[in-house]
Amino acid sequence: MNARAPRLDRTQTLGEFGTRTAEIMGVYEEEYASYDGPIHEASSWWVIATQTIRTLVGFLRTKLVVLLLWIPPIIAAVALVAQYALRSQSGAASPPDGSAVAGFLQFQVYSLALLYMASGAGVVSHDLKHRTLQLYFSKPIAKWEYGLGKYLGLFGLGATVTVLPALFVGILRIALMGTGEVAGPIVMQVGFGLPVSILSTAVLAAVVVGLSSLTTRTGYVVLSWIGLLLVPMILRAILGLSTVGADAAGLVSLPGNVGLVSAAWVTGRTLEIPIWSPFAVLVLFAGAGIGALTWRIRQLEGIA
Amino acid sequence: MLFALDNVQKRYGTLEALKGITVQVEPGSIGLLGPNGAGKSTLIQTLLGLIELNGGSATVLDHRVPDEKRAIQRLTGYMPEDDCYLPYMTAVEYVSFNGRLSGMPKSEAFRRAHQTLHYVGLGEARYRELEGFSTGMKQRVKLAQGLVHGPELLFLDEPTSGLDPQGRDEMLELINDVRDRGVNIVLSSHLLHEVEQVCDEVLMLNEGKLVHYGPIEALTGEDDTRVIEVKTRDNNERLEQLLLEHDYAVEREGLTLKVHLEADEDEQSMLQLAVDHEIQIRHFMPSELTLEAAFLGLLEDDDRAPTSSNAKESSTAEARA
Repeated sequence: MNARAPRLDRTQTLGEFGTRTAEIMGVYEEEYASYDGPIHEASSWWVIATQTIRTLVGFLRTKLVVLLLWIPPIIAAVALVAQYALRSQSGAASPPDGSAVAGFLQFQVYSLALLYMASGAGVVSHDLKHRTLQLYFSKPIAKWEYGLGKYLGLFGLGATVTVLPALFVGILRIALMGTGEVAGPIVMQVGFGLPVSILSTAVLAAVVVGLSSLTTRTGYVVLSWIGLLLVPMILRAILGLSTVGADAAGLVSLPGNVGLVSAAWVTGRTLEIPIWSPFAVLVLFAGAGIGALTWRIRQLEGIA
Repeated sequence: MLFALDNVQKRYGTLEALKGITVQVEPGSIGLLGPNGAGKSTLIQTLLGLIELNGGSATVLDHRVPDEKRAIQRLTGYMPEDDCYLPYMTAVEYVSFNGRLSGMPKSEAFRRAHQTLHYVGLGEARYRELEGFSTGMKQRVKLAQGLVHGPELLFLDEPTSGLDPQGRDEMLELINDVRDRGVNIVLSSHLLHEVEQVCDEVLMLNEGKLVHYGPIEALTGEDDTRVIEVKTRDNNERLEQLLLEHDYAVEREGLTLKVHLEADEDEQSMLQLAVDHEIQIRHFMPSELTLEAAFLGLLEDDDRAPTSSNAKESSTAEARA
């Protein structure tokens, strides 16, 4: 007979807290019991997405940055209320040109950039660093579910400072200002602005998730993210100066492309470049990000 | 059948990690033994459906690998050797998250996470972040995540790695308790005495080949042969020569002579031989063939006859039958 480990006195092992916890929590089970409850077949991507958001939002720095980034939308809302009050007094209403909405959308890109610097850059790199992937993939989940879940988690975090404020301010704007002759343009601007907000969040989340897939060092992700934003912005500024503000200069940077899309959709301005070109650049950026994530997941032979 | 492998092969580039392993393993607790690079981890990954095979086929709990990978992963739990957790997650978050990944509804996963953490002795620490956990606590929380969904088969990869003796005993006690409650265990370890404490059977690998599969009892020599350890005061060489002259099988190990006796050979006659030649015996004891000795012996045999693994497997299977 092979030797068995001597049985330990469980009371002694667990100490007094076992009994005490049993009284308080009512969940204490001294012995292991099999699980015979329900098992769901699908939606692991949803589990990963929600857990990613929950984990990221759990950081104090995330809460602080989100709080900070909600200040401008709140100011915008207060300004809308003030504008509404003034208009009520004067009775005059000039049709808005949409520049305020375009500016708001442009601001959202920088908000998102800041949020992802503070939190979210480690969305995949932390899994690589802490070797959690081997555990995840020992569960019944597919590689694409992991990738989709991580991407949606990051998108969800970003949406808290882009899509949600856009909805809030947009609905308020329509409710307060969307009456009379100006109702049509305002609804149109909000209606176009919201997809731009979603688009910019989707693209930036894809880029960050892609960068995060390339390394185990979250610091490198943050640095490359800053570089990816700053260098093209400087280039854009130089090109803008040398071409006296030509639209083409905006194509080199992420915020520039979002600005071009906003200008075309929200303000209705005719661009000097084909309307599809900023979209094409944004799709390229997003594609590169998703491509990096896909590449990393495909490299997981032996882990997944 | 717990799992069955039929000529399973896996290559990483030019390295053959698994060289055509064929074995059928019955339910129970199985020790997976082998030196570094033997293919233990690759075998576990194969059984979990994590890697694509280059040849052969495998089933786990009657589900085919990799076609029915999801079903296998639902029925199995895995405790990896490495630390694999996000340090800022709390224990209950970590365990319930793994439960949800296994397909449990959120509320059930949360309830089971609490239960399982209490079971492994982390009830009080369940809301603490994993970052602050000791090595023993980390091992326990890894065990908890492997158990949360109630698996039929649990893969344990070096579960006592980094633990002090007390922590090791407690972990083995937990594993034994899990086993006693009907969960099949595959324990990969390089510590042979751990395998002896937990497992009924062992599966030994060496350089990607199956060296042995069978009950531990069969391996540790509960057959008709006996080994007697003999030490003399100062005349080992003389006694060795005498024993050899009388057709005893003798091997020298340091200052000890190991005499292999067949069933019909009497140790008293061996003792008498020493007395007749006035050789003073200092030590005369039956030697127990430990799992470690058997393991090393099998590895030696395998090195000498590198193509004999299948024959050995067959003979072991016959012995078991």
